[in-house]
Amino acid sequence: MTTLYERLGGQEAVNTAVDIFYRKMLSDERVNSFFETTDMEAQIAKQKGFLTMAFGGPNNYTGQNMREGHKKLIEKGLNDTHVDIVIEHLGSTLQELGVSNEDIAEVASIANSARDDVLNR
Amino acid sequence: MSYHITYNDQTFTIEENETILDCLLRENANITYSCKAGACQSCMMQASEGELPANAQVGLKDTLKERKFFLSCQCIPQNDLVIKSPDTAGMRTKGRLIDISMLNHNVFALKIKQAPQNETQPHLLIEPGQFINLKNPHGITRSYSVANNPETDGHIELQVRYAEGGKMSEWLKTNASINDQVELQGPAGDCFYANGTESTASIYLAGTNTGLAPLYGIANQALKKAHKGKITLLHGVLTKADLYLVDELTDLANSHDNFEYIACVLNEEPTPQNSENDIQQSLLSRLNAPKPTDQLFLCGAPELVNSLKTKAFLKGLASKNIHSDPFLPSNS
Repeated sequence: MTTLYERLGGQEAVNTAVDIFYRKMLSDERVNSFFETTDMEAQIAKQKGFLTMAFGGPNNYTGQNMREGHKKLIEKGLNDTHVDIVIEHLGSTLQELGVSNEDIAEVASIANSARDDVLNR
Repeated sequence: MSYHITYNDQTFTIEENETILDCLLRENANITYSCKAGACQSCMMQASEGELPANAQVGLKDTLKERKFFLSCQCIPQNDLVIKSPDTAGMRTKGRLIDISMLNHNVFALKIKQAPQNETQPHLLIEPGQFINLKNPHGITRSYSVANNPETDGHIELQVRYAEGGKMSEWLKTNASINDQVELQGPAGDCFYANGTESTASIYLAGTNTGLAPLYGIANQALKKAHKGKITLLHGVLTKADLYLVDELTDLANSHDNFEYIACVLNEEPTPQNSENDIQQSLLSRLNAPKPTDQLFLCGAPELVNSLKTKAFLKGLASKNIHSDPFLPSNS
């Protein structure tokens, strides 16, 4: 029985997906203002951490660091719509990489499980 | 069979199937780490002796791989290793100034010879384009990029833009003389031509003012290594008087079919010699449908470097192939 993370291709898959996913985020006017002042290299590293978590890989993401990390963005207006957009881009990234719909749904549900922490509820 | 690692001068024994990170944490070493999955790269270290297993470098830039950086959370050693945390990377040595000249109205060219090496003080091994810290006889330290190949040339060449009132600048202008003793520390930075570079990759080099120094070093190194792909060097300045190395770069373009030099002079009408104004536009207009192996090097004004990094990434360049050195102004 393989895990989701193994089926997706593990760390190699994260490294491939991160550029596609982050390019989608930066090109989307609904969310790209949140990244205006961030350093690209630092962001890529953070996005890799996020993707590893969403792919069901080993991680030590905690509710606490999710809350801390998004505090400033909530002040800038981060809300449910933006989380939906992240999950949308995550899905279309995986689709481009040929991942099955079942696995995409599983990734979406893992990402969705962080919603309340991200939005500090 | 168990292996040993030496970390910041302390030796530890790796247990079976244990990663370096787990071993160091078990030994209560104070290590920065986060995901333990090879993603966040916060546990990155550098090896100075011993072979690294390939999976310990997955996802790292070629320029980091060649400098033996690796992710300690992914590294199960297959032999003994000597490692250090990356912030202690780089060594110190002494040198002396062997030449000072002017490349244009405000850029100094410095040539520095490293002191004869011995066991306790080997020469700094610098790739063209990396940067070093230079400490002058008055104790003033600044970072500068290396414009040449110190190993083959036998000396280090730096380019320093004169800043009025700047301590290093004023020293160079009024006091510095041949044979002055300096201290050198480094190298650092991942702006250099990696040996693993795909030889057909296009290489884009874009820099403002003395951001040309590392790019000139990288371009020469790539040509010396017989790079086959197109190499495009864009130098952005405000006025024509700020250009330098124009003859050298023009000669390089004339003698190599795959090398193009574009001078971008922002405040002047384009002429046949400098046909373009805005280095951002000049670069971005050339970055169409980049190949996955194409490389971009950006050096100079931080706002420009940061904005071009993102724009080039959006044009499709792989994030791991974008290398940059923002030149931060000194506060004193």
